[in-house]
Amino acid sequence: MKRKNKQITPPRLAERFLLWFLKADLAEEVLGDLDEKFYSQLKKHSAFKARRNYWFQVFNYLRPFALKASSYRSNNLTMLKHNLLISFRSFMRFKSTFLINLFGLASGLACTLLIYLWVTDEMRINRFHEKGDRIYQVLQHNRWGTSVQTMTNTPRPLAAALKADFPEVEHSVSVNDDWADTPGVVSFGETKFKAKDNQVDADFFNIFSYELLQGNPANPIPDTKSVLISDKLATKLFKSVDNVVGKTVHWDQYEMSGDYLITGVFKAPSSQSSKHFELLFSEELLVERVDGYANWNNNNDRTFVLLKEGSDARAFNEKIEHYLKTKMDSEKNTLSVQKFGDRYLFGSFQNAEQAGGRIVYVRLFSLVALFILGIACINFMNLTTAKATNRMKEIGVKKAIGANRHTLASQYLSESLLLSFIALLVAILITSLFIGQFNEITGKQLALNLEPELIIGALTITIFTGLVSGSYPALYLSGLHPIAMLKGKLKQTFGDTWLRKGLVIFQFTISAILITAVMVVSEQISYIQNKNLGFKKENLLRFDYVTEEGPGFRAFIEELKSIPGVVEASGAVDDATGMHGGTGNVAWPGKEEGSRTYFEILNVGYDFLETMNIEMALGRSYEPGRDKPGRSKIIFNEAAIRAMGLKDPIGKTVQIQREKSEVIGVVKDFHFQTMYQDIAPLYIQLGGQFEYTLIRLRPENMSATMAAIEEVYDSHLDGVPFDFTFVDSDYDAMYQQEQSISSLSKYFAAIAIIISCLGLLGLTAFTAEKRSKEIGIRKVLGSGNWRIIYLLSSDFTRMILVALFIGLPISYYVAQEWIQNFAYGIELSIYQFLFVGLLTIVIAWVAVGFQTLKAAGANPVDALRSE
Amino acid sequence: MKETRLGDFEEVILLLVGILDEEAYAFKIAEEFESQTERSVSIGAVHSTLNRLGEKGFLTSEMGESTAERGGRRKRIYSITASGQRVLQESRDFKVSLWNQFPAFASGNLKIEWLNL
Repeated sequence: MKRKNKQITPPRLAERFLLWFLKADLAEEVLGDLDEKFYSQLKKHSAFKARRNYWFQVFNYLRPFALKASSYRSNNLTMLKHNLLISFRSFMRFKSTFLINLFGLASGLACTLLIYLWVTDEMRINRFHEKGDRIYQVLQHNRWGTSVQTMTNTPRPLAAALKADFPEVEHSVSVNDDWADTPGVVSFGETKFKAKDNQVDADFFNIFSYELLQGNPANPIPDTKSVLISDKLATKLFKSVDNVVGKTVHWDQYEMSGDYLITGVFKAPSSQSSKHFELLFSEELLVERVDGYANWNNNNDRTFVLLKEGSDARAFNEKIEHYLKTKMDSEKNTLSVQKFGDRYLFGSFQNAEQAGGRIVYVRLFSLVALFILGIACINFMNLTTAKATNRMKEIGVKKAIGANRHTLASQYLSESLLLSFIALLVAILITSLFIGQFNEITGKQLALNLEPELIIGALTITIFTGLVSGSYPALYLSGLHPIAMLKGKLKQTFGDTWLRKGLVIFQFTISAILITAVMVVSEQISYIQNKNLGFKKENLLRFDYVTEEGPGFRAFIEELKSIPGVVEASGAVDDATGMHGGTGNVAWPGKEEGSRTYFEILNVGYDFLETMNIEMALGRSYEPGRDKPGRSKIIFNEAAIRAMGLKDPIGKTVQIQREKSEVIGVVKDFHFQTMYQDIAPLYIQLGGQFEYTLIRLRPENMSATMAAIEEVYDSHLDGVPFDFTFVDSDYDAMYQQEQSISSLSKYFAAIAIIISCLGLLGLTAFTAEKRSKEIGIRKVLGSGNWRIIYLLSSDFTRMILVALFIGLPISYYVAQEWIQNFAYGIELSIYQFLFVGLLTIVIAWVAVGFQTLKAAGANPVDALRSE
Repeated sequence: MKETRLGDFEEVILLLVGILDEEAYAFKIAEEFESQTERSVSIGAVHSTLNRLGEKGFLTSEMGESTAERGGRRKRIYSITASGQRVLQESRDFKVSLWNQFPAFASGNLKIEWLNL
């Protein structure tokens, strides 16, 4: 071909596209015209513009007159239209089946969507750090006791030492977030707020992707007089984020109290961060203010390292395993690292090996979503294949005039896909209605945003649902014999009914398991909440008040006690629901050489035991004036006495961290940890500084008492808001995760059983309709209504019995596993499971009862007259 | 039953076919349209209209010769049929009669620029 300009030719792709859709007999003239156009454009404009114009011209040939009349494509289009039409007609014709399927699939999809949102949110926690694949947290495996305890507490010097000794460590940081458990009070002039703080090293921002908005990125916290605050706190304190740097704020918290210069502002951690802090101080501040903080045996810091690119974490783990021994001769504890992003989901350790964590719940709920969706799919399969007898003629005619299997299969698949897309729309509606409640239960802030991931996720789930639920009907119906179908002689084979029954059994097995889960979880929770804890958690008020023991605080306590509604009041450091320290360094008379027992420690005020209503087993409690803060006089719990094997303990002297202590009393065992743990050996000592105040109230006239307390509070802590909690609700909050699982499993079990029953209802309606003549004849011959009801319900009762037979042992096993996590679990009895079984059957009977009653009560003449 | 009236665009295309005579093929007609009216048009749109006019019986066409810038491809030359000429005439007569019924124009008080469509 000769052309004036050999380099520049019309775009090949456009030409090929044109030829693909253009009628063959138009090709020559059109291509000629377009070429001519192209070269005339080329004379006036750039090659790019000429090409662009060519494309424009090509697209302008997408006109009906020029399109190929492709038999293949138009036929497919027609078939699709036909299939959609037939689907719509069958939806209209079998309205109840359609509604059952729609409702089932929609609620199944809604559950799946909610769980999908929850799971993706869980997966995102702490994964937003840019260098996330290289950030590792150092874990310490405590090997002092009989079992290995894994903790995140590490010594202060560890971070720097790791960086110095191991070349693969790029940055390392010590973080103290313990103090954040008891918020301090930040004040600027008269404005005061409670806030959470962390103490961090200089490399904090080099490792984590928390954003420094203002300040010097190289050294944001230059000294122990500096503080960084979050943009949120800045807005609260100063009404603006601008011109905040350089201002001085006062901070009230224990040893950390003082005036600090703001040297920077950071963006408040998002909800995707598991850490929430509003102030950042220097780690050096702790070293300065807390005695012995930088010692190797003082485990108060979290240590994070950023490994260099290409480093092998496993090799690093092996290197650092016995690293602590190089610093302290007798140290038995070992170290390892875990990717920080994995900590949130894979946080639990057993014998220094990763085992479970929140991921268990993520998996559990994903499984539940899959099961509920499966139950809804089964409804569709069962009802479609059952109803197929009504559509036999249609399929038969289609087959007779030459429809092949593929065409029929695609008809049923397009029907199920259509249904699942309609269900998706309904599901989105349901989800947006219930997402608020779901957030309340799970404590998240999920939203149905149109993110591409969510859209892709929802579409994948929907298409998957459509294909799964349509696959069996498609394969089954397309494989039937046309002549048998047209003659109406088709018998349902043994295999079909067996499969349908199997699917129903599967549905009810899952439902029974979910019902058992609801029962066991809620019983366990109410057991925990109502168990005698060894102290009375009701009417116990607490508020944070960080102060020193002394005349001022005594006066405060006395003022509180003088209020008529107050029974008792005390300051305290540790509490019965939260964190406290521990030690293995206790020696007592008759202790075996080399044996080690780990003791928990509670630091309390004088009237703590009385305020908590903890009973003494032996000896006396603390008395002001007689006992001084410190370890000189201590009180053990019974578990500690048992562990030590101490006889007649009162008056004996033990050594705690090489200091002599006199045992003045023994308290009866009470629960100061979660129910997952046994009551551990414990000693109680008088604290010299308190973090909160505990008050026992009389149940009468609470509001007057509260007002009086607030008055006393304001006179001592002017300007700090009176934020109080009740210990019983704090205690319940400890089991918040179990609570939310309990309420979620209630909803999911209800949905599962409703969908299953709907399916059963559909099947019963179908059977009743199929057997209407039989029922009519039976009635004419004198059968009673109950006999008919028995006839209709015996079949599915048998199926449910089989389901229970499979489901209950499984749920017993699973429940037993779960309960064993608790040191104090409920006893599972056979009656509970019988109850679940009975409940399932009754629910199913009620569900189909209306249908069977209607069938049994129908006038036989109506059934027999037709035809 | 084919529509036998002329649309505005169709009328212009039909006239252009008459003007271009031996050179009346889609590309040239589109070029001519653009230069006469200073409105841009795609070849596809022109082709579609030519096709429609052909179906209405106002145009016939036959393949002409090929040239180098067409890559050796032939062009389809359109020509007006008798009924095409008649429908153009009817269209003009109809408009002239409308013009004449308009008093302001009929009295000759207004200057009329003819055929500036």
